[in-house]
Amino acid sequence: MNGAANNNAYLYAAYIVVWVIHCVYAFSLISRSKRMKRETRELNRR
Amino acid sequence: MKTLFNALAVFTALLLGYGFCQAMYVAPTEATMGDVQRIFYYHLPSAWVAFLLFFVNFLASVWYLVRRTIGADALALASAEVGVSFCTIVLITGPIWARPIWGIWWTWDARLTSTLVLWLIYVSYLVLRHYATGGQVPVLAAALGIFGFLDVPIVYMAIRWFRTQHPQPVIGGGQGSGLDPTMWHAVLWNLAAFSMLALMFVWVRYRQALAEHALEEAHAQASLDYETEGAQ
Repeated sequence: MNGAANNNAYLYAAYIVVWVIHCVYAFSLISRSKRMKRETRELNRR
Repeated sequence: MKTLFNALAVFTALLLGYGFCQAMYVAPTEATMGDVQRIFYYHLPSAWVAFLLFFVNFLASVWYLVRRTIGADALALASAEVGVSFCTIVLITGPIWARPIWGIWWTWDARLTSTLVLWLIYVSYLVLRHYATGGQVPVLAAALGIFGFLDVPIVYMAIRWFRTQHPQPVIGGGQGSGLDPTMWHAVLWNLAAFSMLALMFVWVRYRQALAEHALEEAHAQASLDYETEGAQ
């Protein structure tokens, strides 16, 4: 029982890692989009 | 276009949720490994999606070398970047699964080592794209993408060609291989969900790569205009 519970910690860790990686990548895409919009605005202003 | 993107985003979120429920609650508990085997439902689809994205990178790289279109270059970059994120998931979830089952985090067997090499090839592809400057960078990256893809069939066949610690294939693995149909549902739903998520990521990154290219050209033109005005 204790072993199974310990193994479940590995299961949760794996699922958390998957979602963290997807979220980090999604946020990196969002921040890149924002940066590019800002750069475009500055270029148009010049 | 924005409405289609939003509709696909909602559809992807629903698929991801359904895939999660299938993996965690619907699929039966594996007899020998217990619940920790459920890592498989994220591990395997992530690997397949990474392979698919590296194949897209391969096709786009060939297309770029033949036609030299910006779209092909942008697609190659987008697919490689998203492919690396999925391959990273494979390389992290694998050891997390291996630790309670094999008693070790990592072993240098053919499947694991060739997957690590695959990841390193595409990380080097992204490093090249990010840090190198000059007009030949897309050509060099395309060549790397084409030769790098040669590792994908090696990774796939590694468990068939060599005796490995990694489990035998669930498709075409001969007698005794295969999965329970309920387990297949969880695999296929998560494969569909991760494929849709990858499509969304590639879509966004592709448009960003095109916009980056346009922005670079606009910057170059602005500098040229500034210098011309200065000379007059």
